[in-house]
Parts: sequence; C-alpha cells; structure tokens
Amino acid sequence: MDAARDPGLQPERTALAWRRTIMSAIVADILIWRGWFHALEAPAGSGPVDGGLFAAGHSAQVVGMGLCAVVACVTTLVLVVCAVARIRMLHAGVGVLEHSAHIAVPALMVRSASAAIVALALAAMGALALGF
Amino acid sequence: MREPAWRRTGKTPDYRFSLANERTFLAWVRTALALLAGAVAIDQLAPEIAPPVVRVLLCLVLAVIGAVLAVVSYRRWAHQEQAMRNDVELPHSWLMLGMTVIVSLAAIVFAVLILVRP
Repeated sequence: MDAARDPGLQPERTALAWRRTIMSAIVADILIWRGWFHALEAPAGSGPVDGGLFAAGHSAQVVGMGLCAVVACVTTLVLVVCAVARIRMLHAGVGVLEHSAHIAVPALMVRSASAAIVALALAAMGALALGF
Repeated sequence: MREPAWRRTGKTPDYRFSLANERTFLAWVRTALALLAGAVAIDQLAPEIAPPVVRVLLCLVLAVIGAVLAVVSYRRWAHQEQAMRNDVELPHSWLMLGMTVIVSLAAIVFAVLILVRP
C-alpha cells in the first residue's frame, strides 16, 4: 500500500475530469463536421454535387463550413494536448503530493483550454450562421 | 511556461484545494461544451423546431453563452486560487445563479417550441 497516495484519489479524479472534458469536446467537434459533410452532399439551391469532397465549384458556404470544421478540429487537438500533458503530470505527481507546487496545474494549460473552447464556440457560430 | 504574476504571491495552496479548483474549472468547461454541442445539435437534428431565423438565433445565443462561460470559468479559477493563496474568503460568484437562470430559460423556451410545433 502506497502511503503517499491521496486517500480521496484527488489526482486520479482530476485526470478523469480532463478525460471527460476531451470527450465533450469531441462530441461538439463531430457535430460541426457532420454539418460540413451535409453541406458537401447537398449545397443549398444547386442540388447534389457529384464527387462530394473533391468536386469542383464549391460554394462559399461549403468552404466556410469546412474552415469551421478545421478550426473545431484544431481546438480539440489543443485540448487533447493539454489533457495528455496534464494527465502525465498528475500520474507522475501521485507519489510526491507533499510538493504542492509540482502538482498544481500550470496557468498556461488552463488558459489554453479556455481559449480553445472560445475558438470552438466561434467555429460553432460560424457553422450555424453558414448553415442558415 | 510563464506563470502570471499572481501565481508567485502568497503561498501555494494545498494540492487538494488546487485540484478541486481545477476540477471545478473543468466542470464549467464541460458545461460550455455541452451548450456548444447542444446549439449545433438542435440546429442540425431538429430543423423543424422553429422558423429558421428563430432557430438559428436561439442556437447562436446558446453558442455565445458557451463562449462567455469558457472565459468566465478561467476568471473564476484564477480568482479562487488568488483567494486561496492570500488566505482570504473565496469570492462570491454570480456564475451559479446566472447559469441556473440561463439553463432554466433555455429549457422553458425549447419546451414551448416543442409543444407549439405543428
């Protein structure tokens, strides 16, 4: 039995909270991608396009929604990078909990996560406005 | 990694408190993500819920709230840790009341829209 381990499993719970956050981001990401694929299949007004993704003459709407999907993907990647780094830190810190400064979350990670959600929100707003 | 100046003031909080603060931040972030996913999902999966202009406006409002919530959750995390570092009372936040009102309003609006849908 590891005497240094927190009896409330706080680092483990925090690592799981980061995992849940990634999963939520992926759900939002997939929905934005779904909107783009639908726009590719049936561009407004002009009927279905043969060749889907690689067809010539994409409307500004389809290009814009593709841009939103790429932004959403990048924000999810930023979140995943933050989460993976944080989970590694937490697991490494399980045995050295008395050094509080080493297990505290770096401000950069919190800021990046927050900024990634704002960017994801902008992508969602763009996708909503373009899908109209 | 450069830490903000306030992170060098006072004493480093006990890891239990700083981890709890971090988990609270993540919980608010997931709330923001749920609002974003909900906004896009309603727009795509329930196109008949309201006239298109109303539907897109409602979904945009939800997405804007999600963006604001992401910023507010960072500020709340920073303020809580500053209070812990300097051993002062944790700041009172309108965030919980605000989000309760917003989520209740959203639920009522969408419930009415579902009920009056032709």
